[in-house]
Amino acid sequence: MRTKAFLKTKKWEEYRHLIGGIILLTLIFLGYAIPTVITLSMMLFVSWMAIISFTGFRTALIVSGGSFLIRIALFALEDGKMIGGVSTGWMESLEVSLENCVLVSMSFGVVIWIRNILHSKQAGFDEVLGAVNLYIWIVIIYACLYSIISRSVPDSFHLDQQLVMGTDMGQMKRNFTELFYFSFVTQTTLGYGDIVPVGHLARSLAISQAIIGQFYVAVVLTYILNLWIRDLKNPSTPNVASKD
Amino acid sequence: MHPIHHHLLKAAEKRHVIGAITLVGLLYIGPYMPESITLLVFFAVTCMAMTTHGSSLKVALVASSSFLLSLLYLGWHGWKSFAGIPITFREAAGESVVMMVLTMLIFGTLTWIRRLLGTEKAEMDKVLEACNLYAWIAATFAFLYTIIGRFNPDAFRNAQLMPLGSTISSVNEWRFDIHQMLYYSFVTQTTLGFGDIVPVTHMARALTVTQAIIGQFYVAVVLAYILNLWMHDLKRRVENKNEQKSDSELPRH
Repeated sequence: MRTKAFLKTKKWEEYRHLIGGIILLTLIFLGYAIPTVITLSMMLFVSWMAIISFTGFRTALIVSGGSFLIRIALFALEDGKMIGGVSTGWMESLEVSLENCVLVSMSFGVVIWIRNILHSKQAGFDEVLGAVNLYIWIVIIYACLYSIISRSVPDSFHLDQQLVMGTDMGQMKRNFTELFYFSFVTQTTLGYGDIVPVGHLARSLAISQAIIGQFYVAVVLTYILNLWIRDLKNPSTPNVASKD
Repeated sequence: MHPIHHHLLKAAEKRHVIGAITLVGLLYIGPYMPESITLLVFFAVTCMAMTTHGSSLKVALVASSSFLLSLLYLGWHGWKSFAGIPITFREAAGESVVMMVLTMLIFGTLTWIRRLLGTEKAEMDKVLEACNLYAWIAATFAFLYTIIGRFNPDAFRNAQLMPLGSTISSVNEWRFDIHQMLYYSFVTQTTLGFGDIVPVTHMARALTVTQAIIGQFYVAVVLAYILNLWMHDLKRRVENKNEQKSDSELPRH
């Protein structure tokens, strides 16, 4: 089998996409059982794995450390209050800062990664797997965005039951796992409608995510697949494009 | 050649057509039949596919061991269902059959997808095979959802039938059967997402999300791969034909 031979010949560090994918899949299935802070830290770890391999350790430290510290400093300046003016505890401010950190470093990573993909001249099965990972990264970025919005405007997401029953605002704030699920449902264009965006910002974000979800598969994935299939047909000459 | 053997060989060649017709037939007629018949048909289809990919001994081993293990588990817990409700031996056997078909579907999907991505040449038959595998994956997830529903009846919520805010266990004797889960599975995999049945528990949500990603990427990766090979093959065949034509035309000139 091609995949089996591939697993044997490549070195451990060269199938980082597989490791990243397994971590992300574990987060999808076990995310509810572990505290959000740990989930976010694991997401940060995954993003670091990629950023370090693209740009080096220093950039990764500057980007994610900087975004984390700036958010913490903002909390300190405003007496531990959110953008919406709601005061938070120590744990929640840590969570928000981590969310911010994951958001910034993942966005940074996605931009570098996509640029890297669209400039690459060859692709193996590993790169195809990496493209699937990148898809989940975009989901995480949007989940962080939704979470930040949901914290500052608590009633920007509704459950379909609550919409009818009209519960109080305090219960409207969604937790991260739920928004992660919502993010997935939106990006794959499933759209069950069990959680719906209500605020203007939340709605625009959801729409943009659905568009990205469709076009990602059509553009980025097709690009990589084309490279992969071409390389499969002539494995002896990997740099066909550069010769052309 | 013995005539029956000949017929069997012919059937093996057409197995993707037969499998596809069976699956589509199940989608349409399934809800009018008892669940046991659906399970039997699924069992037959999985057997058919897996004996062509692997040895029949392996198939028998996988099927019987998963069936016996599941039955043993139920017996160990004093003949109670996965959700903890007391059941008869016959019902326990039914649960075990669901578990058996699920194991065989998962086993079959893994070997099948590896085989499919290992092919170098593709014809129309392979494209049909890829389409069949898509339905097969949906069936696998349908059985996964069914099992999850057996463990926790509140895993899925019917948005229309259920009164708002209530859980399924509060509505007595109400659960999703395989046909409803098959419908839900296809709605998810094609990313239609009507939202008439929605996942509630974390496990159900995680599986749903995984299936939606698989549904999108299957069409983009596996189907694109097979189609590419097929087109390549077609192009080569047309070129060969043209060469032959020009060869035969040459002496006349």
